[in-house]
Amino acid sequence: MGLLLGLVYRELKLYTQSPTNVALSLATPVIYALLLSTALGRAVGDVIHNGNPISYAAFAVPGLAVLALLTSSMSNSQSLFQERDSGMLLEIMSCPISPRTYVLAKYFGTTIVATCHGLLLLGSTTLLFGLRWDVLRWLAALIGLPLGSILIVSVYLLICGLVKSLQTFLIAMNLLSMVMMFASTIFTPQDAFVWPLNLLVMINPVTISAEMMRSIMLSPATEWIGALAQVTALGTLLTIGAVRILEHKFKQL
Amino acid sequence: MQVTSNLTVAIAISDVWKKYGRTQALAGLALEVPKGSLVGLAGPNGAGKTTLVKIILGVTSYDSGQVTVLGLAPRTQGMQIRGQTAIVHQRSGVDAFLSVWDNVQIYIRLRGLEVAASETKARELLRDFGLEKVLQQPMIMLSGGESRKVQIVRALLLDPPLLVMDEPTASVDPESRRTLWSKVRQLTSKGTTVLWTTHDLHEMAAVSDWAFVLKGGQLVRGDTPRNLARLVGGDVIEIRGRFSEELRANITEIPAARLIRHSSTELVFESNSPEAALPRVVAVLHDCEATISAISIRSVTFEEAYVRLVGGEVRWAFY
Repeated sequence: MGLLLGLVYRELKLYTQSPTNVALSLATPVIYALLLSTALGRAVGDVIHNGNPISYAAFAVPGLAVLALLTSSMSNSQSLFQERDSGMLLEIMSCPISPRTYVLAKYFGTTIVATCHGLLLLGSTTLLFGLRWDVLRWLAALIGLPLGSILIVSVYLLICGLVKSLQTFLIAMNLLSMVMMFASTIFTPQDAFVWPLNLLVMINPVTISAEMMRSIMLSPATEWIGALAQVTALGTLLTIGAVRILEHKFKQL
Repeated sequence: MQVTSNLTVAIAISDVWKKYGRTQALAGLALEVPKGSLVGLAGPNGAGKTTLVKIILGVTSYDSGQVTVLGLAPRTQGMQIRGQTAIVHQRSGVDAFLSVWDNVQIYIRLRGLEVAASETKARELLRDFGLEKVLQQPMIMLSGGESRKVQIVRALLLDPPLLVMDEPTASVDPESRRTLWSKVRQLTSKGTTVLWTTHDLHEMAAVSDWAFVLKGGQLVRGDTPRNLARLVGGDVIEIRGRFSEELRANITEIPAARLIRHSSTELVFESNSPEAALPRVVAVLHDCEATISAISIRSVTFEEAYVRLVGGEVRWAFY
């Protein structure tokens, strides 16, 4: 456990070593928040959610928190390749640390950072657009954001395990991130997508996470459990897959 | 090759084979490292030194053979071995954008060491290696030698049964090398086994108790540096003076003497019977009207023995 904490400590040190990097990693979702919730928000007007009209800002903000998870998960997962190529992975694996502990530390580190990003975005946009959510919803968001992060980072780590080089990973990520971002309900309600795109939207882990956050922030508490359970189940499944693949990969350095 | 028949063995390698794709990295390697000794591994690039280090740590598997490290099997007990082993890798295993001190602090946590005591020890070691002024600098700003010293400091934080160093003194200044070997000797005196690789054969001969010469994934010879030189045998004839290029081109075929190095001011031969070879060499030089200012005969050094052992591929690479 101590070694796992040591690795998480390292992940957080790496993230916080440059305030500029922290600011830049927050910039993408914040810019999207401003652009979409003003420009698109005016064009779209109100959105129907669960049969009730809500402002576009109220609709988009929970999804934008998931966008924050997406951007920080991507940048953190590519560090696997950088560490392998720089010799840092061999250094870490030369400590009494198993490949599984290393991969789990990546999960923990990324989840902590991504959750902080998600919360910051949620907080700032809530203030910006004058939204009001009660304490219970905020507490539920504190559970939902890490779960969403685990689900999304699993997707990236799975791909890390399946491709051989950083170059291939970056190409795959550029493609996949755009699809995950725009073929999701972050910006648009699900019924706005036409067939067969709506199938892709439905199975997209970003959609599943965004709908969970939307449920937490906008729907009655009775709906949260189902949404949280769905994200937990899918996240667990993908985590097991990613950990197994990466564990196997890092056994041979 | 068994060199430790009556000693306790820290690392035992027996008929180990390892292939990366089409490259045969180890081809039936066999050697034993005595407990508490300082053992140097030498060999040309691609001889299998780094592969051996990785196999010992259990971070790379092997195709066949037997390996025992501190009585443990790397294939199944790699974690236990790594828990008892400090390592300085050949490639930089540091977080480049973090400071020296951050890197040390992280290492302390990754090794599961007691934080306060280890930080105190780290500060002393960093001072001993002249790094106290760069503590807050990002690693990326450091020179190659300084970066290497940070890796060494981290490894020396432990008091391990086994210390493995892959080219630890590359780019490191002489003063820090002395500090390193002094610290390493303190460790071996307490029973630590040290295995290190290098291309600096002079240094290897000077500090190592045992030297293993590897080539093509096999052990060519293993013994003390002095015995290795004796085993290879022969003497070196060094002649100083003025030698034309034409002379140097024609002097390669003298019976009993093999020209191994030459320049306009120096000819170096190796010979198994210098007393027979020298008159012939001098006669040839005299016939060619070369000017001779000094002649000396001495025993083969470890470096020269190494060159003979590994063949022509790395001939005089250390000069």
